[in-house]
Amino acid sequence: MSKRPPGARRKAPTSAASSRAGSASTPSPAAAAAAAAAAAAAAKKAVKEKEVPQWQINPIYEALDSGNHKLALQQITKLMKKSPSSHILRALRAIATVRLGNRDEAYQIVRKVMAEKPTDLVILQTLVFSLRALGKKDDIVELHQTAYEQAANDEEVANHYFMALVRTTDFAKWQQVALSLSRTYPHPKYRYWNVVATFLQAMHTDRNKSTVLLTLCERMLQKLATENKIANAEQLGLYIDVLTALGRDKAVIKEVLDRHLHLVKVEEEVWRMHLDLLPSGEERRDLACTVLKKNADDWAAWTAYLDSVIALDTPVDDVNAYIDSMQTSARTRGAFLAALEYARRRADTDPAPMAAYWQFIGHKPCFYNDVTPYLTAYRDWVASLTHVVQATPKSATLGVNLRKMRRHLALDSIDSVDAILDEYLAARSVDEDLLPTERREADEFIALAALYLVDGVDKDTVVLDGRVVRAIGLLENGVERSPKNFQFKLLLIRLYLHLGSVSRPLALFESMDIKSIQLDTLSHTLLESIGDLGYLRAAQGFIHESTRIYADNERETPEMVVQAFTHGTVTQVPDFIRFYFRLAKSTARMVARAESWRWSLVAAHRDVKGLKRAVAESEELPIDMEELYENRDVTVMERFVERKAEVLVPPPKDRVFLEMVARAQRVVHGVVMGDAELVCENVKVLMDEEDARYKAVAKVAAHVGMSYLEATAEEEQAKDLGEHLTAILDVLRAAVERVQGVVGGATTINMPVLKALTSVVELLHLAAIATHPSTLVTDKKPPAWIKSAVTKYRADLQPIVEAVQSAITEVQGKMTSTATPALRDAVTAARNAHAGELSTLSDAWVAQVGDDWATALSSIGDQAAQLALVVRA
Amino acid sequence: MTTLRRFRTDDLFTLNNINLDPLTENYNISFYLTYLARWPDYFSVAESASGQAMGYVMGKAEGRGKEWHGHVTALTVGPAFRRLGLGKQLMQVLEDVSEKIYNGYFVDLFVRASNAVAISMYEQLGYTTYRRVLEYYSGTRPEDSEDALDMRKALPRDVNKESVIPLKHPVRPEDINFD
Repeated sequence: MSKRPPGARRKAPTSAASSRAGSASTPSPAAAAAAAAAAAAAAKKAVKEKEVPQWQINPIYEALDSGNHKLALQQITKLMKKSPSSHILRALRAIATVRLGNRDEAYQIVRKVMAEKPTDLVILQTLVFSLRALGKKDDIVELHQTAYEQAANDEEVANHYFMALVRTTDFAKWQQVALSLSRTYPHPKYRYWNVVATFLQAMHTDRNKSTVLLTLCERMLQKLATENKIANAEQLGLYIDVLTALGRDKAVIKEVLDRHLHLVKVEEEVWRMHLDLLPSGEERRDLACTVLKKNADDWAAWTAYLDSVIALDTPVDDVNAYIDSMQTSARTRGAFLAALEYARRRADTDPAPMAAYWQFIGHKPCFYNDVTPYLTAYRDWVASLTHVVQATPKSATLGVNLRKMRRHLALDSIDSVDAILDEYLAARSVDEDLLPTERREADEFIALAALYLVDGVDKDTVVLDGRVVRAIGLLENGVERSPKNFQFKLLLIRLYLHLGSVSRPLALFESMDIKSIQLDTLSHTLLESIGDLGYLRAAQGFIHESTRIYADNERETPEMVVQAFTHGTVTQVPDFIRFYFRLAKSTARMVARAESWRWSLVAAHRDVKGLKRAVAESEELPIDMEELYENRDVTVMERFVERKAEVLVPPPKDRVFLEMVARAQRVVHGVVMGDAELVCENVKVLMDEEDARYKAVAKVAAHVGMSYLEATAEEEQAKDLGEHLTAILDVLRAAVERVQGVVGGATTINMPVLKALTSVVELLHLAAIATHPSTLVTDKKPPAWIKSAVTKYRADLQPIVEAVQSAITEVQGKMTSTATPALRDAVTAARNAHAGELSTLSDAWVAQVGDDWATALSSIGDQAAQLALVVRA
Repeated sequence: MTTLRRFRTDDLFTLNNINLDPLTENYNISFYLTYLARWPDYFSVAESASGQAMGYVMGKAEGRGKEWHGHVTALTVGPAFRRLGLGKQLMQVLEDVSEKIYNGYFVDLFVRASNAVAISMYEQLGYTTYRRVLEYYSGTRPEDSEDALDMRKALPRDVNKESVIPLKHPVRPEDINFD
């Protein structure tokens, strides 16, 4: 009986969904059979080498498979007495050792076996298990490279080497090995591997080199074509992708496609490709008509049709007659929207096609979305439209769509809120028997009313704006009725963050069951605010959870690249690599890293030791921000306006922020770890930071860095050191003054208030770094001139810290004196407003917001107290 | 107005308006990418005129001998785009692929026995219940688990429509492995 390496049995994906979806995750019978055959062949080989006989090894596999690693280790030790140099025993020993938690020892075992340059595939695969568990990607490549060099004529070893390489992004090396494989072995797949590797190199290099590489790809594919070796749709797809990347004429691409048309088996797919490649004209128009005859909703066909009739100067009446006939015969959205699109292209603003679309589909939820690009031309028509909402599904949706158009065109305002709520009351009974998971159309009235209420709220106000509370009341009542309405939740999260509360946003976020790739696209609203609001512990926890996707990407995506090669889906390889980079170099990921750095350092800054540990553990931000990908979703929350600005929270953090943190991180790292060069390289950029949002932090970090450089200079720099420390104090004093201004005027607690307090505590933390003489000089005992400068600095910081602490205390006092009463009044006012029964919030709700404020303030207060001790020490 | 096209990995970043829907599952990376690596022709997205994803379908080919067929793994349409016939268009793509590329005998799918809306839509598209699969959907609590209906539609290759003759008795999930 043959045995596979332990753990080779593929585990089902962790997603609970996979079990529902059937057996998608299990390998195909063919793949499993192939794997088994390979293992059997390899096992036979192992016996031939006079290794330990298989029957003696089997119990070890069984022990490892059942998780009994100690037993496995005992069995191995026993057998190793007779065969101390056995590769398989030592490789298995490494697995047992790593699984028992002795990572260093396991790695040493693997390295020793590697030094003996094994080429047996079973040994290689067994070693890979340990290396993968140890996260040693480079070693996996090295292991296979060595084997490949030892056994250059073994095709299987060469294949394994290539697969080890494609788990990396060293495309030049992929290409090298693929080229060598394609020269040694006849199977055409190796030539495709070479094309893919060259294509990827081209995608990741400068333009000149890229063209050369793409031309090379084209030539290789031409050769494969002349040899009739373009054998399936994937290979043809790769050819087309290469030609497209080269910017070849569509006619050239079409010629290639047409020569291989038999490979595209679904006629609709051929049509789609032809519509894309044909020049506008009769042929393209006729094809579009053929497609539309089969599916009158096909938008690509409509676009091609309109392009063509315009290029052909077809009389307007003829075109309209065709569109009319399609509207009568098929009654699809496409046919009706085509009339609008045609009018737009001719700048014809006659409302007839818009009116027809309204007539046709104004009662469907998709209507607003469909007409958004056309609306501005029909302002007068929309303004003249009236609709009395009644309790039928159609009437409700018509009313909603009319309100959405009016919002888009700024025909309504906050004055319309009462009327919109009346429409909701008139319509809502139609949704009553729907399942909680279904979309309730009348809910849209609530979302609209809430948006109008907060439109005019100043996000920087420090006085409670009752409209926010009324909007929250509407949305909370809405969520109670429609617990799955994610639009309500996305908006609520923002309103609560403005109020300075995070417990409800965190619960709402969780209730949306956000996971996997959504963590990258949707976490940012919360992630970027929690720390700034002072909830340092919650921020750390949230960052930890939401950044799991990036570890998943590192672990899973490279295996998928291997799968694409294995299944010959060559067009997917460049896509998967792009996907990998989009997550690995995601802006959201880098912002999470920046936030994590900021708050973990503040929290750890109790003493030099804590600070050093936090600095050492932090992940570095890249300086080269050009390469980042923007995946943060800023459109999923509907606002029904032309320009989609954020609602009451700041816009997503940008590159200016990331660059500032990246520099500050390096300066702090240099200062704390004693790396003057690192400080030197980064200090100037910070000093020159002009963006008002980050100027203070940048300046303090820069002067901390400069103080360090002066203190570690060869000669005494007492004057310069003093000046830098004074500069830090100046920034701090200005910041404290600003905070005192904010706090003095505040009658509520909300984002601007909490942010002001948190940001000054962050400044204090940075400033406090310069109080640690042991980090300022490399000698044990600082010279007198440094000692006296630091003593003075500490003394000067003292009143500043105290001022910050009393600002925090002042806000804490306001919690009971003004903030909570104002909140309670706003709740009452909302209840007494028009349709107040739709906006009720309980006393418990007021208490919950108050609890959140208390949590934030005590967290900020604790940090300030901690820093006060650091400064005093 | 709908543009039906192949799903690409980039689309995974712009599905929130569909995937925030409570009945649409968010899978892990491997799940989506495995489908793209093995059955890229089975994974299609319906896009609006403005390029917004409105719905998508993912499927695969599996089974041996006369059991060789197309399987619908996921079919979903965003809440704002329902009742427009998008499900029908996406299913048409999947049936075309099953027939013309994979030459299968039938197409099948699993649906929650309680999901009356979906069941009636599939019936309109010509699917019939082939068998009931007991407790196919497992929940964290026993009372959350639910039966599935295995619905099928014969393709032209199954001339006598043998593949859709209903079974008399329900089966257990372990009885339906096609590998």
